[in-house]
Amino acid sequence: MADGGVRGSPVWRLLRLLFPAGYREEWADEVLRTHVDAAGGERTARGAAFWGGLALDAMKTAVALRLEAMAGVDSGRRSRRSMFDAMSYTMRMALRGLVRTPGFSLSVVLTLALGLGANVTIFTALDRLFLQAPAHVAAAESVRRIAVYGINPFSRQQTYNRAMTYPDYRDLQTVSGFASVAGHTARSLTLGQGLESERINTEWATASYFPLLGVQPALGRFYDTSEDGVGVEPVVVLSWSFWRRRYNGDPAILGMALTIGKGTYTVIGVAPRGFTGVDMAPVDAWLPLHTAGGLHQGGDWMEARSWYWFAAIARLSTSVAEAASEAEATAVYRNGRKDVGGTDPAARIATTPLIAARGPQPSGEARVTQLLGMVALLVLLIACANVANLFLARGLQRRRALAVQSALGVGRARLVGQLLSEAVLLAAAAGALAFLIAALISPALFRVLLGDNAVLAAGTGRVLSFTIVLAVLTVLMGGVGPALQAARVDPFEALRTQRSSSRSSWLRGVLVAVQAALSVVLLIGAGLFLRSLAQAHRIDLGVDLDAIVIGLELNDGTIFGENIVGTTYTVVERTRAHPAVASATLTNLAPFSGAWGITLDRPGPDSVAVGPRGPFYHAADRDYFRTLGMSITHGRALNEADEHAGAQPVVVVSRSMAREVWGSESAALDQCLIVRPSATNSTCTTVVGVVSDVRAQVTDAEPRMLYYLTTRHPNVTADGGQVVMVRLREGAESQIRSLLQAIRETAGNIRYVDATPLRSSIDQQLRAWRLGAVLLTAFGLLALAVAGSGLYSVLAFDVAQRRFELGIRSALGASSRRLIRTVVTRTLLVIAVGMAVGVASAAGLSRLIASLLFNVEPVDPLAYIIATLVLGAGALLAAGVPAWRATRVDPRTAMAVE
Amino acid sequence: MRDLTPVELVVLAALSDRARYGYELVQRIGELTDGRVRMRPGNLYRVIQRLMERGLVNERSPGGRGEDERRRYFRATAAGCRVAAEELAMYGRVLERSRGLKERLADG
Repeated sequence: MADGGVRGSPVWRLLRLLFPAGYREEWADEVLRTHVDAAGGERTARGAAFWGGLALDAMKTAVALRLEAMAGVDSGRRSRRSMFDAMSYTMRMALRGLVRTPGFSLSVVLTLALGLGANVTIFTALDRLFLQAPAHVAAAESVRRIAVYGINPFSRQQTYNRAMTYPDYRDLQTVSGFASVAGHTARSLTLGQGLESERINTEWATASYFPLLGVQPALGRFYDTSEDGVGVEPVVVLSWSFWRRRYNGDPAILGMALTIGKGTYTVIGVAPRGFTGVDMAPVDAWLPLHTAGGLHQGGDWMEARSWYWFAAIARLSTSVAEAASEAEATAVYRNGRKDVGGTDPAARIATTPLIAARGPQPSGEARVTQLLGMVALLVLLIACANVANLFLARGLQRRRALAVQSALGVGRARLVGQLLSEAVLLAAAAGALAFLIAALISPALFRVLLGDNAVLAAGTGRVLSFTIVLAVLTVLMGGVGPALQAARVDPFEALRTQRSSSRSSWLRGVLVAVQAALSVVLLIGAGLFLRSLAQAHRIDLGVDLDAIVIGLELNDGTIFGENIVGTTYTVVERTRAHPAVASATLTNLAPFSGAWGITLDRPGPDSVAVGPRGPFYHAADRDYFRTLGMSITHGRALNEADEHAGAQPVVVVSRSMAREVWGSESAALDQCLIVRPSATNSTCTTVVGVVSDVRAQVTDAEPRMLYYLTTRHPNVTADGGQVVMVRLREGAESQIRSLLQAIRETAGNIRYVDATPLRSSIDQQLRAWRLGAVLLTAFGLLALAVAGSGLYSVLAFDVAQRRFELGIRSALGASSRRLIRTVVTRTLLVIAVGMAVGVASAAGLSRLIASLLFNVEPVDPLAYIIATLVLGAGALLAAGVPAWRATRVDPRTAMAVE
Repeated sequence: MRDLTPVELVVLAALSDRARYGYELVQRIGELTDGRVRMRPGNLYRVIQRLMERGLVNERSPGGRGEDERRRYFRATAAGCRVAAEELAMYGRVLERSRGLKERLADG
């Protein structure tokens, strides 16, 4: 069967159920087959567009069929006109009914709009993260990100690693299962000179990158292989937004020369609007990877198999199965690395999805968004329960009216139709409002989720379909039950008394309990994320986060090693002398912004392998450890004498490196390390000290192995740049500007200076938890508000219903307290039951998010207690007003009404 | 016999020359109406069901040249063709006699 796969899908099996039985048996399969045909056959019939269209069709048809049946149209006998008349009559009646009770209508619309709005907003984000391929990529389904799956030598865990070395990349180009392979990496570089200069986001990409992705330039052209080489005339392609922003979209930009980083690049093209490569981060300019690598990388970047500095993508060949391509790539990879120390022999090449969120290691943002999707559904469930309750209450209020209609011979189908029409109208209004809410909120959410410059390219059509589908589902969930119940009215019973039946009050109790339970779950979730965030903040990374990172770019190349220029020292000296500065140090890379590995050796049989966790080096000087708040555990720190030209080369190693390489910290002292060993270089660099560990990431189980070479060490190069790290004096934060000015004035060859707090690089790592904490708290409070208003309306309704009884009690001398207890006790009991269920469910559910938490047990007592207290307080607040009103019932008017 | 709705008329017209299955029918309707009428499959089968109940369309098991065994083919019955033709002729006469409409049509 051609459409067996789609037909077997659970989505279709659910959708089928929408049709009335007769139609389903006769036509459902045909409907599906025609959709599959329209989509171009079984192989292409999938994805959001296909399912969305199918779902929409099924729903519209099902509604039309049922309305047909409800209006009593025996298909073919009566004209469609009369069906339309019946429908529009029902709708008009419903509308009139709703306008007559604005309070009810408004609260339903608002509650639903909040619930729907939350979902539509999150769907917009999910759509962007999970459903849309990067913009402008042609035939995105055959593009893969290449990752190495293997045991990380230090964490001892199986991980996917996308960082690639150049020789490995070169080897992968020979894989026949890859139609094309491209490399890319993002770097921040300085554009322009002096005061005009600006940091821009560049992406270094091989010439194969653009043809592989199938993207076409908006202006000019992309570069070809001959322009992507070491030492060739540099060329650059600008992004659309950068071209518009900085050059006002002037087409004369083509042929212009731009100074970017260490090169002067000729502009040859502009990428199409919205194109940001394969990642979501904004890109200002694309530089040829080999050209930029030759200018900036230095050293043996083309040969070092320990230098993981870019990522690779591939387009799969149509003639080779993906698994075969992976196997071939793995063989090539292993062969290339067979003599490389520290390589996991079982490591294999994995081709992972282009849409990163669907890949094996989705970002924290993607996982949080996924979680939020579930959370938003919970909020919607709460809203549905709330709306169902409102409908029930309304049904009770209208029992007499319905009873009269029923007594007059209006059929049940007709009554249900009338009540459902109300639900449909309300859902339509709520859906429209939700769509507006989402349109207003999602840009803000995107900024929070994906960073400032995230490109918002939501597929409006899909979002709209999603809203409609969800609104319809909401009506089914919130409106059908109450409508059925209200229509099941016994005229005699209803006309005899005003009181609600015990059955419906039981149902309303359950709905309140459900809301309480779901709210508790959400609040506990929020609590867990807040606790995670607090824990992550508390983690000791090994450095003082108050330090300031001053990025420095000089016009004359290398500033480290034997050729270190005088300017650099002058800059550091000036900085140290500045009144705002307590201490300052010169290094190549700030902590948390990566570190470089170079080949290492030690006298003896085996060399020291450099793996993904190090050993990596930092350039350092006498004030490095003091400025960053690190402590020497053995031996001594670097000192001024070590920085003199011709001084004996020395190194300070981290505790973890000392233990890993020499067995213990004390054993490392006075040992010899050969940096960049070669036939001509066997100079010993002596270990003079052991210093406390630094973690590269908050989540790192183990610290990195690091070693610290002096800035003048002959084998240190300016790989990656130069920064001055500063620790300010107490209360001197306001003087950073004057400090930067002083540095700028030090020498004419300073091209660019900027200052960022070291803490901000950690903020990036804390994003996922902060996101979870902020958004879950927002959702938790939203849920609380919705549930609170639900509780309020239930109680208010109860009080109104029981006015007569309360009036009598009051007349008989019941105290206010007693009256309050009469009204509130049962409801609060219901809520307590709901909360208990919620706590139990949260204990089960929270295991699912355990991997998103940090150093917090899924069953964290504090989070559970606080959530329960918050909900309890909310419930008391919501119950307070109706309770107070109960005490104000005047016996005379209450009884007069009845 | 009651009048046909415009959609029913188009479906009948699309089934008047030969038997067609679902997607073929959707495409044919598109052709006939210059793409103005795009039928959702669910609705299409609703209309077909109605027309079958009225005896204007019947189902034929596949067997013709190039027809697919697994599909269901529909064709307008003689009555269906006649009703559709009458209806269209009636519209034609209406158009012919409505000077204002004809002029608009001529203006393009």
